[in-house]
Amino acid sequence: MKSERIKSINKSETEVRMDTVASESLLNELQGVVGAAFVRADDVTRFTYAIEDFGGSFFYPLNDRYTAPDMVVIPHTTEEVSGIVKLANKYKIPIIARGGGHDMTGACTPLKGKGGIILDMTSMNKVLDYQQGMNAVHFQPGIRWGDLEHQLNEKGLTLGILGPHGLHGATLGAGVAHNCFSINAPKYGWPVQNVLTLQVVLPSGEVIETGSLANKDCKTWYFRCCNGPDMAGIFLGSGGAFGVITEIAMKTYPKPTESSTLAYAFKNIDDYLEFVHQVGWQQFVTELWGMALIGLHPKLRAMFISMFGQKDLVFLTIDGHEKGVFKAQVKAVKRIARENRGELIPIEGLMHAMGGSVIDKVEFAGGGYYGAMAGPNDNCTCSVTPVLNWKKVVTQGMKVIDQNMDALGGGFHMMGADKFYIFPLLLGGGNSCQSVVSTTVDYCCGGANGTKACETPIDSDKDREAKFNLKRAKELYSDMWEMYVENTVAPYRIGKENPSLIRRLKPEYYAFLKLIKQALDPNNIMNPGVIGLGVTDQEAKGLV
Amino acid sequence: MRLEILKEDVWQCNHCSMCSEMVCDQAGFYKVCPVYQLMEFENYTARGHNTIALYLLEGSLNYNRELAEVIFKCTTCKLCEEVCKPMGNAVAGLGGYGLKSIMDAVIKPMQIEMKPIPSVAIMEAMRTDCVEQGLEPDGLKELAARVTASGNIYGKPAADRLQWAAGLNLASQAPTILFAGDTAAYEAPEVAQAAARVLQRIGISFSLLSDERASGAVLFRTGNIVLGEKMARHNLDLLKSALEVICLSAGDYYSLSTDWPKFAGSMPFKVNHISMVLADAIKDKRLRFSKNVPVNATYEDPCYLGRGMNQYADPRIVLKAIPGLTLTEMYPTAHGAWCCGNCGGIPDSDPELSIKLGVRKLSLIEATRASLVATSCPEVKVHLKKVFAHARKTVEVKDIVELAAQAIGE
Repeated sequence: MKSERIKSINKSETEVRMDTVASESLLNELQGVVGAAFVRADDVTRFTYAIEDFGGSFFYPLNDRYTAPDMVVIPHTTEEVSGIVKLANKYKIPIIARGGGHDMTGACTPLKGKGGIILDMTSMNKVLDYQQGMNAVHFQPGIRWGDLEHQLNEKGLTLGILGPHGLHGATLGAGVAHNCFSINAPKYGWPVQNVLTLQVVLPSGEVIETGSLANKDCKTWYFRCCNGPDMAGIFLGSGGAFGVITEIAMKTYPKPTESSTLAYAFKNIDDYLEFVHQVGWQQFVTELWGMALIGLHPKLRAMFISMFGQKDLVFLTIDGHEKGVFKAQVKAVKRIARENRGELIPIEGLMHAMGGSVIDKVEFAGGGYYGAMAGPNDNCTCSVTPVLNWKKVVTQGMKVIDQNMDALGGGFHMMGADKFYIFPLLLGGGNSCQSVVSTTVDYCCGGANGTKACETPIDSDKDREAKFNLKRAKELYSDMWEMYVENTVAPYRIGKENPSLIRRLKPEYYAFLKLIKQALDPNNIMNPGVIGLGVTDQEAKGLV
Repeated sequence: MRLEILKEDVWQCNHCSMCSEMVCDQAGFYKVCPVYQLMEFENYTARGHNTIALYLLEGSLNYNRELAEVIFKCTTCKLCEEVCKPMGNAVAGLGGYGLKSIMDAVIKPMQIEMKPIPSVAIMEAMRTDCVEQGLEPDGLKELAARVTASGNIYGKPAADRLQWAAGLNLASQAPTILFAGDTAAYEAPEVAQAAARVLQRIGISFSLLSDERASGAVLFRTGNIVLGEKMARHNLDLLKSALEVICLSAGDYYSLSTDWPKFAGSMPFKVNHISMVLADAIKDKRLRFSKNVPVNATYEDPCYLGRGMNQYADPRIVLKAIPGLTLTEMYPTAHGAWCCGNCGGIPDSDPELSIKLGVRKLSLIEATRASLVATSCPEVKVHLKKVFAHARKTVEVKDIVELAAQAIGE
């Protein structure tokens, strides 16, 4: 087998390619599996797929850890995925399943020194079945959140959860494989909590089905908790380290017919958090955004104070399909707000008249929104913590930022803030929330990372300054995570960007993860580096 | 590299991929990039183009035929930019297209500019770089040769350009010019004739350019800005005394409004599309329809009239004013309308793809059960007729000016 092993050859600083002979042989075999039209190894295709959402640009593929894939393959069936995985084993080449390409932690980009095949799953995008009784939908993983919701809505159904940040172009498969958060999670739960059954191509190429589908006579009933351990759970959030998800069944709900948007202002941060905690815990709200003054950049804070006074704000939506229950929920939320001294901001009628809601159902932004707000680069420390822990985390986060303020760049130009950070409180199901810090730095056009994108000569003073700023921003990012893990905050995805987080996992837990990895994927072909699995420490840093 | 001019925009792209593919019914979007739907690789999407641009600027990629093959597949339909408009989709979700359309005007006084990533401009800059290196598809080289030789995109004799106007008794000189464009002049004379009759009925005195040439629209879209500018400057010389230019083609209207000012400064005349002139005349009762046109029609938004120039309402005002005509909208429509495959030089660079894109749109047309597709661009009309013939469909296609002419009894 050694002679067949792919040799990774550094052709340039940013490029890793397979050995030519092995590459051609693999290409031919892949074309035999999926057809010639769906295998590409040209530079244009390879580099097109060497990108993720810039929301977390520290993983930027041109940096010292990542590289373009060796080739990109588009499968259309489970059998094709199985065939590709078997070939990847034969050639010992990594395989990375990719959906919409939104991960911000390097999870769908190959590590330098490893390379690999990107499996573009977006053409496996069909709804396969609706469970009798209509409380489940069975589909392929490459379907986009918006498309699935569209098809469900036509039947009077909803998935409830609408995907991360309104990114209706993200895929369900990548969402559950990487444990994304979702809009409407406070009411409907996290996406992975809504998964009923999975079909997975294991690293060996074998195909298994989980839950009720494990029974060989069961075809169209989707139930998770049966036939032994919760096998779906192993693959959910695993980042493709243990297999490729090829079919998913998820819960569906009646499409809401009633919807209301409420907003409250709180003079006291503890009242504000208690309100959020109570409405979230009791699952009265469908979605909630909190904007507390302590979590804002001073200029943004000043702007909010000028508009609303010295108050923390909460926007929330409530929806339902049963009028009586819905009305009771609205009433309960209003009561809880009163009990916690919340002042109603009268937007309910306006929103109702406009036929929409501030935060449910709509796509928040076009892509240009991010660039316009935060500059070309920002990095989010997306994470979860109990709501009642949020104040402590943000207070600590502010101390970290104060020590590293110079590392912040970019800026909320639209509102005149030359630097930008924000810790919004998004209620993400049950009793958790997100803490986000945006550590932006304008390094890209300054020529850092060895880029040639700007007129700034490499190694000029400006270039050196940009690189220095990037280094400081990375330090800030790391410092923030260090603070997080010390303060009961967990990342809801790790990807390949945070070896420091893996270091903080309990050794027994991590050893168990490694054991599963070794048992399932002895050749370490499945997305090596994700959650730190399948690579050495040096490889994880892209140093091979 | 011409792309260097747009490097800041390239870096601003967040690569969120909504321009590739997404569905958001609340905002009126059902699928995005039409070429991606057929080609499946992300290379063919705006995010793909922006990524390619990034790596060109960074130095990992170079222009070559492989890259040009990807870049010249784009229809430039601008649906990617529509999806990218910051907060625009949320606004449309709340207040509909009307609110979205006026957003720019509302926020400008607040010194807020929320523009999308100019993905089409980035892609067109790469096309220009390709043209400079001779990397454009053969079909576009042939197009350029035809334009150079004859002054029109079809390579027809210049002497035949005004044949369509024979017997119409038009003014020899007037401050208003009807810029018929190549397609109405050579391939769809019935549209030009109908426009002339309706304008006469409204009472607008207009003349034609004695030596009109291609507006350059398709050349600008396909990166041949040198030849495009040459054509435009020729026309500009002829338009020196004009006060108003009325375009029949959506592409020409866009080009005169946005491409020409880039090298010639602001136009010394007002540029209008025929649909705007008709809608204004209907509103102030200079144009009344007396004949019944009993037909169930759907409306095909030309990309460069709709997303290009934000003109969605006027063609619909015309159609809704025609007695007996029932308008059934496709879904998606207006801001979210699918491209029919006629834009971006695709009919010349990849005729097969162009037809496939049109056939893809047939499902939306058929879902309306309309027996007629109305549009407001002669190029779209000619293209859709080809598509329907290819698919052996009997759906009729007419420009709104033809329907207007029918409704005034001409």
